Amino acid sequence: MSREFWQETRIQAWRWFLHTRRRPIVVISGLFQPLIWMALFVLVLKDSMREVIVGPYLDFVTPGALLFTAFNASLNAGVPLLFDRELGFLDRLRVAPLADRFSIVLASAIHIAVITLMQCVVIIGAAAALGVRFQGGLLGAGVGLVALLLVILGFTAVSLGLAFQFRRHFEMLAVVMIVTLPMVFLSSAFAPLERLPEWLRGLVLLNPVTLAIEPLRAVYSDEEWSFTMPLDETWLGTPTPAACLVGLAIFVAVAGFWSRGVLRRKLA
Amino acid sequence: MGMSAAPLLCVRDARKRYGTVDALCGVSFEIAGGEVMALLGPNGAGKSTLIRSLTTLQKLDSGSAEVAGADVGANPSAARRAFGYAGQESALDKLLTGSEMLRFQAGLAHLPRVEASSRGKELLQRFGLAEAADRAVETYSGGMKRRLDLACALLHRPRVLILDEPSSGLDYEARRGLWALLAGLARDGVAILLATHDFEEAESLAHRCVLLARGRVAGSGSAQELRDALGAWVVTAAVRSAPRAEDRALLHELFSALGGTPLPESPDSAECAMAAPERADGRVWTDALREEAARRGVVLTALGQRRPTLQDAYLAATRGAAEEVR
Ligand SMILES: Nc1ncnc2c1ncn2[C@@H]1O[C@H](COP(=O)(O)OP(=O)(O)O)[C@@H](O)[C@H]1O
Ligand SMILES: [Mg+2]
Repeated sequence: MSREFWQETRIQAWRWFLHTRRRPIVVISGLFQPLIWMALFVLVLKDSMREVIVGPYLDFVTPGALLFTAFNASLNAGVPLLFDRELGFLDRLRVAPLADRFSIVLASAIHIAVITLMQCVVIIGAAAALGVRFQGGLLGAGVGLVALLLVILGFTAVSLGLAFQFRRHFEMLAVVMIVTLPMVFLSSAFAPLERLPEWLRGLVLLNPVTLAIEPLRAVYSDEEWSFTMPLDETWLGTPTPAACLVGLAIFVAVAGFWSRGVLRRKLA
Repeated sequence: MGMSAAPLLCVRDARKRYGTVDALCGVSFEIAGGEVMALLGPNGAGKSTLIRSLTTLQKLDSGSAEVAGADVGANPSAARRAFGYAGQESALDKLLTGSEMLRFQAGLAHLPRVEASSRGKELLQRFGLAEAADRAVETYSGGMKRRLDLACALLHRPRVLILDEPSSGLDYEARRGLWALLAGLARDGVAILLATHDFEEAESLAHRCVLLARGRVAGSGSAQELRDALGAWVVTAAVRSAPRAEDRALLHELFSALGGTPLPESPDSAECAMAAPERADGRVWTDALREEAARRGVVLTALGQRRPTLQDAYLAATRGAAEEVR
């Protein structure tokens, strides 16, 4: 990519980071949500879930909280762009001599990815302080971060695509709200795959949230995890952490492709 | 630098249709460097459609437009480098400061860092924003926002400036200040197109006006030429205080009998007007009109006679063609 493209991407990302610095409340509240979730789940559900989940419950919940943070933040990535359009700011970008309008999306994605990863690191740190750590040292941490990054990239792409698909921010917020709950609950975020009804398991496995959470959970709670270890059985087959990551990468590629297509059409 | 001969903005037979609405039906004009052109027209005339097409925010159905030689449809990137645009609403980020806004704009325009900073400072100074440079845009007054918007549009030294109602929402002082800035830019050789509803703005700023009505050019020329084309005088009269069709018909008949040209009137006014040449006999038109009416047993009120204004020329050209807004 050209130097001009990086210059315009950098300045747009700079603007988003300025926003975050001047409105830190958005990041802080985004951080408190999963921490409160985790605390509540441990306090309220620990005993009732005892026979469902083997091992410490916090080990089980931490990946869910991380995923929830990454998923939620990235699915809302497009909302500021919608406000930009409603306030006429997008027209400023559209009449600017940009090298490639993809910089609009890329800058937004970079900002969200960095902020969300930072939030995840805080949660990872908080969990570590409570004794929940990645198994397998750097490789385990690497797998965890890659899974999170893929989730962030994929759902940011989806969100940015939606932002150009919709005309008004409340339409988008409504869709995001409708999508969030089933995506989280029809995943293995809060209950293991094997506990779900047989017919549902395959579907849940196709959910990118599940594809991320399975390897994340493997590196969090299984000391002997490996890329090829079989996870829970479903009618779609028995996934491995490696297969999950590949599935997640495919999701990111499809989401990126779709989003770029929407951008091409709507910003032409 | 004065006006140069080569046109910097060129519109040829521009057409645009939305469903069944013809927003632009064959608009053509040119603007030279150093020239200010006012685009005047009632609501729905197609001003914004034209401006959005010129600024590559949308595409024309047919016809073409060139900015500094770059076709806006075929080569939008080159066109975007050549024009600066400020829309009707100031499109600023209120969380940023004035100088941050300019830094942002400089990044979009790919100015080198050093140049961006010096040019930003220069513009802030020139537009009276130096003191407010490090304050959030949120705290700016309407006039300051407009000026910052304009500074952003000018940052990359465009040769063409396209403005949609630049002084809307500004008080008198702020408007005068803005006009002085724009006049200065024109003296520097920038070609300026501005859509406006403000006749005073057009009179004091524009070298030429294009009157747009229902997507067509209903008249063009300098304010003086447009006024002269209407005639030497505008003569007004009414029969009763409430508007009535038969009074209107009577007045039109009177006007025609005296050799004037009835002007289209507003449907909710009892007053009718005609454009008229200088009288050969040196009498005033109001006397002649009163006399002619008396011969027919009609008493006229609200008799008046004045030199045509740009607004008269505009109303004559655009009324009737205007969309029914009420
Ligand atoms: N996006 C649109 N869809 C349908 N009709 C439109 C659209 N934009 C403008 N129009 C119509 O085109 C005509 C010209 O509109 P516009 O260019 O906004 O006029 P102006 O700016 O002079 O008030 C109007 O009849 C308007 O209703
Ligand atoms: Mg308009």
